[in-house]
Amino acid sequence: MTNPSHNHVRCLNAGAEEIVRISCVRHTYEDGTMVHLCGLDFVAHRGERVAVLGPNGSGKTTMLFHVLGLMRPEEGSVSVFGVRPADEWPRIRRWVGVVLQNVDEQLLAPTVFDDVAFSPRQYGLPEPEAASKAHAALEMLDIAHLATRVPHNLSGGEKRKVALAGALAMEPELLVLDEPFEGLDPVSRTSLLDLLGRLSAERGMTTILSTHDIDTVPEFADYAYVLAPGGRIAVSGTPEEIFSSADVLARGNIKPPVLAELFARLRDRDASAPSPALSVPEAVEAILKWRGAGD
Amino acid sequence: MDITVVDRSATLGDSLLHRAAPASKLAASGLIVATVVVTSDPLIMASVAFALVGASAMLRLPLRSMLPLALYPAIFAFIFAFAAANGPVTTALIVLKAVTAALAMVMLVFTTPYPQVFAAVQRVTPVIVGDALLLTYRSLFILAEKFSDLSRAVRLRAGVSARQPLRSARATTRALGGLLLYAFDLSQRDYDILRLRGYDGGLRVSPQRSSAPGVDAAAIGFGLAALMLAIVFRALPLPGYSWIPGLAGALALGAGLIIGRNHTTKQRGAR
Repeated sequence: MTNPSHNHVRCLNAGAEEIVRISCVRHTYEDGTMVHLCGLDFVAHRGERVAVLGPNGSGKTTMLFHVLGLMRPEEGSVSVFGVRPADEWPRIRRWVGVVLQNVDEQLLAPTVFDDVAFSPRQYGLPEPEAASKAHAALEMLDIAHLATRVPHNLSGGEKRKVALAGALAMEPELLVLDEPFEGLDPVSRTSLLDLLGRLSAERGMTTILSTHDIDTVPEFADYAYVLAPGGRIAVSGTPEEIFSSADVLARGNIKPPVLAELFARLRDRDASAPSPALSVPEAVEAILKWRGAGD
Repeated sequence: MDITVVDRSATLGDSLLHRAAPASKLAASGLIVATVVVTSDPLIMASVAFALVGASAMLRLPLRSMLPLALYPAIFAFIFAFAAANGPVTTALIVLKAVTAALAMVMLVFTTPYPQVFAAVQRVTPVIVGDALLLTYRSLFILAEKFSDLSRAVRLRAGVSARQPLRSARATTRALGGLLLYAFDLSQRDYDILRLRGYDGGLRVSPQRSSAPGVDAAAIGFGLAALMLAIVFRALPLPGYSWIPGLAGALALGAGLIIGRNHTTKQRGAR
């Protein structure tokens, strides 16, 4: 785990290609609100799944918009695939898939199929290839049955899946997701987590995800950054590192996942209690082992 | 009205007109608009309008949703014609011209998915025109939904009712002001999203080919016939025969309604 007082050295994926780096970026909104993404460098390597956590207004979306070249830093630097996205977006856009927080604004075409095929067609792929990519993305998300539906008539969760299919249709190397689990039922959320894990492992796709849904972070992320109000990157580390330390959680103003809290309370009562497990199977194993040791 | 009805009809409809090529439908609409510009005979205008309504009924297009949209410009046309005060014939002509042109366009958008329409328009206009059309059309859906949410919020939070028109108007105006600011913000976001998804000016669509060439020919033929009729009647005023187009239009409307009704009855019987 790293914090601003330590050198920022990442052991995870050491030597892997660096895809995104954000260094001390500042942005001032028209109403004077300033977001200063400083403290630590934000780095995402190839194939890594990185979560960005933080309270409302801490600058999570601002950070993602800088990655997408939608904002130009007033100070500091942003590098994506080795270029400045605000200046050279056309060079890298084909490798980047995105799902924004308000998916309603992201769905452009009159049918689900046309929407998923939108990017392949805009990038000039021949129609059979564009159609095949769209079909593959629909199948991947298990929404092929929605292909002829009008996107605006779908439920919130279905719209989110359509937006994600649209983002995945071009087989991106970097996927940027802003609050992707909002509106998804638990089953869809689990299958989305599985899918993101699979894509990361099979294709080496890098995923950056901002979320309030703390419980998904241990399941999803290899690495996480915690933003404090105002945009300061307060802490970074693996989910285990972040969620096992009450001090770190307090600094980031975040509530721990249910399992982390459970283990923390067990340890408060009994020092022999196991160290936190962040998935249900791990927790079951740890508790059984602990109980066995007690007997 | 729910604006998604237009998208649903254009995308999921399966009438004969849906199967025609977008370019043919655009050409036919253009010819009807040209007829509207050229003609000075209210009977010809009425004939074309009736024929379009008849064709819509015959093709079982959603007339209930189409007519309010087509009649909407009639309000403004009537106010303009009334202010000009040139007599009832001129008033009728101005109102009919507005309604007929609107009806032709409404038929086009109810039977053709909008990317097909805009892609065809972009082939003959500067890219910026196509961009503007696309962004405007996209924003309509979102703004319509936002306005509906705002109206509901105004009713709930401001306690607005029909008995308090002044208070109601004040609250609605505030909501509209908010919507205007939202619209500015939305236009930027819309552009950003298009850019992120690979749009760099010029909508690329897979061109829809006609699966009913006869309908293409009939649509263009109808437009051409209407325009020729308008030109002939304008060049050679034949007052004694000016009831002919009116009768033709009325017959077309009647035939359309009967065929449409029979078709619906047969389908119900089949179920």
